[in-house]
Amino acid sequence: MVRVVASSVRGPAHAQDGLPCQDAWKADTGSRASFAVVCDGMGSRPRAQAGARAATLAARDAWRLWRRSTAGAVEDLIRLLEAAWRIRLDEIPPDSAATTCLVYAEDEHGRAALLQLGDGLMARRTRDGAVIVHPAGRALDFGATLALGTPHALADWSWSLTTPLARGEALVMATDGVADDFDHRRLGELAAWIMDEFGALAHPGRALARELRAWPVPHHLDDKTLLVMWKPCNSPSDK
Amino acid sequence: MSKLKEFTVSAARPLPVVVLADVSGSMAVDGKIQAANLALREMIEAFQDESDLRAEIHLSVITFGGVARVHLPLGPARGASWTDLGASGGTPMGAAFELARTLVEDRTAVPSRAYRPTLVLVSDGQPTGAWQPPLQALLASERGGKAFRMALAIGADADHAVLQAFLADPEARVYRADEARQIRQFFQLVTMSVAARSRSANPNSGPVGLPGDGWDL
Repeated sequence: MVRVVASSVRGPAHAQDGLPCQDAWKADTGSRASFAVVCDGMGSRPRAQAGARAATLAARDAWRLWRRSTAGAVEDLIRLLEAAWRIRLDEIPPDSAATTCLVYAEDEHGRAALLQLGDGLMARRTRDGAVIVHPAGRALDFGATLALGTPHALADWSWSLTTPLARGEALVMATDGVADDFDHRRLGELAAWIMDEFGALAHPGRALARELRAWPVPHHLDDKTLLVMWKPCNSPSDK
Repeated sequence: MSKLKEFTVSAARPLPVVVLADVSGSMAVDGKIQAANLALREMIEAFQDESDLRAEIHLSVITFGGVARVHLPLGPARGASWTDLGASGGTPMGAAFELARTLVEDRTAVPSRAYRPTLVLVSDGQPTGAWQPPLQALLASERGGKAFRMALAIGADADHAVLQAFLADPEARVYRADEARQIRQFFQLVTMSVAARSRSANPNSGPVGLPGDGWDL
């Protein structure tokens, strides 16, 4: 059974302005396929929170259809997601609800897709401790990012097709409020810490939220979302 | 203490400020270079005295007088040590634009987690040599084009058209200093602008509350 620990917390900037957290995440860990999504609503847009939440639901909508196919193209998963997001938004103008979107989606046939539009981090820790960072695609820097609800093309998505998480492997997903401050050389140890320390807790999400609220980097501002998904080893010797 | 500290960087996000300072021979008259030295020294001290900042201000000074060179490498202002500038030679502003572009585009010097840089151009004369292509390259670069820009024309001989082209915004104004003491006032304005951004909830947003037409140097 795949495990997930995740949390989103409001950053000091939004707290100061009386705004809600505009990050969102969602995960599904079924017996046949797992799924995770992390979204960061663009703070400059008035409906960013709704946009991020709609994107998590839209990604799940798209995944539920895509996972059935033995040969569904990753591009089609993206197209489904984009369409589902606009439908989920209903009457909310997309450009008022712009959001980044990072998705991990397994199908039921031995494939897993990694999708990313905009900034943030997706990295996979293999069983031997090696870390593979998903390429984020075109970087815009200085707070600007590609996003659902901003002008972009299919080619602006960074995507890859790989195999589902194996036993002892982990996936780290984070919005830029977290990812920009990480020491990327230590992502594997971070994943191991989350799995070991939080995996056994009754309320791991709450414990992670406490950690994120006490973010140790001076003068941090952003909302923060961190999600770690892993497939446990059979026995301690498998670690 | 959270264990997260072991997995994160320890420094606040940098907010880079790059000053392009004319140190050509004409700056040696009427006390202009002395005023510029005093102003830059005071700006560094002001940055060092700021305690309520959300970002770590990083400062670099590129000079152009005879040749363009990096006088103060980009680094935290709190650790900066100032050495006075001298003034001599022509005005190779184009080479300074090229140095600025190279610096801002260098992801080691200005990491992706940095806030939007501020470029400050100060000149009292006409550029010598080609300046348009390096300026266009700076403005067209992925990161240089996004930088906030401020410009000061010192004296009647300064080339306002070049400074306005540097700002690349018809609504942005070139500040003007007719006396040496006004150079100091301009740098006080730069200091206030950068510090205000650094204290704001979003240091990537533009400076606010700068003097408009009422600016009195």
